[in-house]
Amino acid sequence: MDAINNLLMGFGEILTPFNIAIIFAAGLIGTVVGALPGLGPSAGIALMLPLTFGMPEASGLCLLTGVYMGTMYGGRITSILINAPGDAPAIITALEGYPMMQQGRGAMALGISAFSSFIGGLFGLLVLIFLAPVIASYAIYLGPPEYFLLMATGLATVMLLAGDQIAKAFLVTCLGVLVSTFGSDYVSGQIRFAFVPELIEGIDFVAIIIGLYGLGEVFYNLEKRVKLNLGKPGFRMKEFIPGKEELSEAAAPTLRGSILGTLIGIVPGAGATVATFLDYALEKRLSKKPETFGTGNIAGLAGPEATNNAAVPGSLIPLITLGIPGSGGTAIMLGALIMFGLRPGPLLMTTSGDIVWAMIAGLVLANVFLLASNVLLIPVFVNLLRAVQGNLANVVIALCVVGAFSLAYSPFNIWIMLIFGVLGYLMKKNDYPTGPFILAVVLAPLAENYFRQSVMLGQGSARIFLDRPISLTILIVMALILALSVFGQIRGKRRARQAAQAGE
Amino acid sequence: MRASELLLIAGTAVFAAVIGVQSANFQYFSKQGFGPGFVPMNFAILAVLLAAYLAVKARLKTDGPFLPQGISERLKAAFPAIATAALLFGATALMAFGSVLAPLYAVMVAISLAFLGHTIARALVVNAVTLAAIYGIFSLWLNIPVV
Repeated sequence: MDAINNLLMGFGEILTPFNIAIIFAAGLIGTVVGALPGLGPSAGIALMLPLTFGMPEASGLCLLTGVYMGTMYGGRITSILINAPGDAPAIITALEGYPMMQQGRGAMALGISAFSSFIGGLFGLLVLIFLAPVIASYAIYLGPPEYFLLMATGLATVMLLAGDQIAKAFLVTCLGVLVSTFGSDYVSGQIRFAFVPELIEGIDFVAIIIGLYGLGEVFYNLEKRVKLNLGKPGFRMKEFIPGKEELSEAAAPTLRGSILGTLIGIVPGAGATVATFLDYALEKRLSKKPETFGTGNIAGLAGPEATNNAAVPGSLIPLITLGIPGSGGTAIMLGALIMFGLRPGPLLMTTSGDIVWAMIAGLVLANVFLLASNVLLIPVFVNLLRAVQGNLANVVIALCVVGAFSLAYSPFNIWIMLIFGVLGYLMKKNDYPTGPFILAVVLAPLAENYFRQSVMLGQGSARIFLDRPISLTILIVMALILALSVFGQIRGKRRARQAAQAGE
Repeated sequence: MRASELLLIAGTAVFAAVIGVQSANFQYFSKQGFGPGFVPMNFAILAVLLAAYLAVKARLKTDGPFLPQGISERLKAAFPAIATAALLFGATALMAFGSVLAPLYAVMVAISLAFLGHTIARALVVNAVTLAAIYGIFSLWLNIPVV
């Protein structure tokens, strides 16, 4: 009951005309950003971060989480209409949605995916509402050794999920750690690598993400000359509303996708993309007609759509309760929480419960707005996309430059943003993952502090990690994840070799 | 090996080497535990080793010469990105004279004309409207002194 009361308190905080307008606008912006190929959730949150300066904490966080949720809805629009996924989780949507569009059932695909997204988001939010306080209440038993190991597990999982690119992921993680060491060392109080006075407080995290995700994408898209030809889809309202038959076909996959998405969202490092691919494979395996997958199968569309939207609230659970982000998007959210002066961790729900519950209430409201807007406003989105995309590069450049300037009212952060823009472009061009880099930038200072505090607690000995039962359990889980990952890679390589030999 | 990947790996290695050398100025370990030099030193060494590994791996994968070939064609393909970055670096240098929006507007118009296929009139109007909207949000609404 406490959770319900807290949620109602959260609604009391956000139900003002200003906040409602912010949440609605966040949903619209997120949908458009998510629909634009090249700009994903991380870019959406990064570009909106400077707009939250000077806003009350709850409003700012509602804006950011609303954009995050909106991008998950938006990715499906261009996937279905023109077979151009707006972000990685929407790749699966294109596999089933675009064939439906070609068969003249595009409006139905948009309608079903909007409903599934809504149910997935709602399910994830319910789990967030009821599970987060429980985890937070247990999290107070964790100390520096456990926090360090949890953060290390998150980082290790992200790197292991890079598959063949593991060395690249490791290199960018090291780079992220090095970037994070600039400025004050919290344990000793010494200033590290302040080559210019502006670096005494370190490199501003917002300038890094704006450059990496905003400017880097612009450079890359200008080179690739990415352009959308949206055409003029004309749908009638009744075509968006799924009938009884379609709803019954979509119901079970939506529920399965919601559960899977929430669970995988909670796991650090996995995220919406992995979740949608797993759910699609699951639906195909459970289907009585697996041969229809790829030709406009409703289960193959509804399940993954619910999955990617459920993963958003799921990924917020470890962030809110433990202060541990599991993806690039949540790493940026962690940076935003710190920027607002909040202390992410087990005490966040106690010390800043009003703000956290307002943010959760904002997410519930955003999910409702997004369902309505994604059914009623599809023509508006298409026209908005058409208007923005003609000058998208300049809109993003202007937001990046002015956003970076706003951090300290000086061009210094614009230089930083430009450097990381070039880095983002080079990383994207050569398939170096940005997720581990940004996670390292955010987590490394915290992890370093926890690690050094742990060793101090252990009187200079690292045995403290083995002596405490919870930290020992986390170590065993870490070892299992590592072993499973290595085993999986060896098995995959052996299978590939056998398949190649059979082919010969 | 692609020139851009070589640039990325070499840049990372140089950056890591500089940090590694600088971190020698900080305490690595004391009786109480690790000092402020511990993390940067170890990760700098790791980064240099990984950069070397990736460079060697790329060398072993390619049959041709190690250094990138056909640089002029590759530069031509990457010209929009390189030119945009150069314009932005130039504009940021000009921002030292006091205005952020004026050099930014010039860059936006140049990008519109060169890479987005806009006419002069469209480039001037669309980018003026974009900057006016951004000025309205940041300066008038959020009170951030951007001019």
